[in-house]
Amino acid sequence: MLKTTGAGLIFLASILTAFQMLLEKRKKIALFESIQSSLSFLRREIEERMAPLSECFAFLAENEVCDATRCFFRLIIEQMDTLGEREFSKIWKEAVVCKLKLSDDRDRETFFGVGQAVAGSDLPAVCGSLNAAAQYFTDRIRQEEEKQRDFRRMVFGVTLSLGAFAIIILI
Amino acid sequence: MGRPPSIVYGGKEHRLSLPPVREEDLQKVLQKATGASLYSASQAIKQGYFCHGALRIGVCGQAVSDGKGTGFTHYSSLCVRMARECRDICPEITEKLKAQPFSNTLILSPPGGGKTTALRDIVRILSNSGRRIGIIDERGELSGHIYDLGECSDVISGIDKLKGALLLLRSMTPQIIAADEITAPGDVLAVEEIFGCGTGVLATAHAADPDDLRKRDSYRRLLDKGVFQKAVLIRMRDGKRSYELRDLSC
Repeated sequence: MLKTTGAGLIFLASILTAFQMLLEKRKKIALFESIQSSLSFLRREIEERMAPLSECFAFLAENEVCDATRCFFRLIIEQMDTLGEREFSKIWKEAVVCKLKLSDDRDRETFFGVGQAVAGSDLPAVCGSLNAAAQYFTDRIRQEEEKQRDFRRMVFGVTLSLGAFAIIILI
Repeated sequence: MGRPPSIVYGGKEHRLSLPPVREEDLQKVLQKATGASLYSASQAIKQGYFCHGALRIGVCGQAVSDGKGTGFTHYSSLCVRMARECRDICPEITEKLKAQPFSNTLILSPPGGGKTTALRDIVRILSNSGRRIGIIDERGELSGHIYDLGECSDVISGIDKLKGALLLLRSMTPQIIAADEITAPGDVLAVEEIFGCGTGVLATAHAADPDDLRKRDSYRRLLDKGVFQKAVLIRMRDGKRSYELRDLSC
């Protein structure tokens, strides 16, 4: 009885661990999707209407699907009062570090670059940078989805193996 | 850039005891003025200045190398002009301008002489005396969205003077049309359109006096046609302004 329970608990723990890791991967993809859609929105609004950043950020702070992105834009809006004392790119960078948990250096640097670019005066350059950054995150979403598929297969295999191992050893 | 900032007060420039200005300081000012949305002011910056509320910010720097004046790659200096409302600055002159019929009037001074401030005050007084005034506020500087321009004033902003004049004439039945800084050929065309429509013209121009104005072809044409009958000359001496009303018809 004890052995069966032990085997069952080990099997359950491995399933939960695998599930937690898959969830983390899913959150990362959701964050990238939200960043990508925000960048596309910014590019459209700036290119078509030359909409001021404050107006775009206010919309994104209310309407973005991902909680982390909404908090990011809310923080930017709060910090915009310090413009003049600080450059916009610094405000953006601090908000990225504080609210968006981008673990990969390249992801962070790409998004830092957006803060530098949008504060420029050359409209085509601003839109070009936003386009490039949106494309970068589109590619990252694809990479993460592939990784997630591979990971799911691996986790499924490992979980089954672990469970079978536990059953064989304990029962 | 590379020098401490200075302020102009009482007609004199006063250097401030602050560290030299760096390009990042200029960037911060521009970002503050545009809410970090410099691209939204890019059309105006191509003209060398943009307006932020009641501020006019002149921009200097390395122009984009296409030579077409499409913008700046680097900024080297800014000139921030803070507009302020002054009331009843030349009451005797304004009383004379209230006379019927209205005499088309040009307000003249060199740059930074106080033409816009004087125009704002005269418009307010004329408007409050019951005259319907149509104001073409091309850069949003006259109204600044905060100044009192009188009870009978209609303001059209963000539009060039010619289109603004035609719109006002067509739709707002103004008795006087007011515009700041008649400089470009289009501005002169606008004045010519208004002239002869039975609507008065009140405008400003850069010039020390009417003789100075005559040195420019477009103004000589306006003066020869008799478009303007009066000029208000603003002079600065020892930090104080004086105002003189001159008859242009003689």
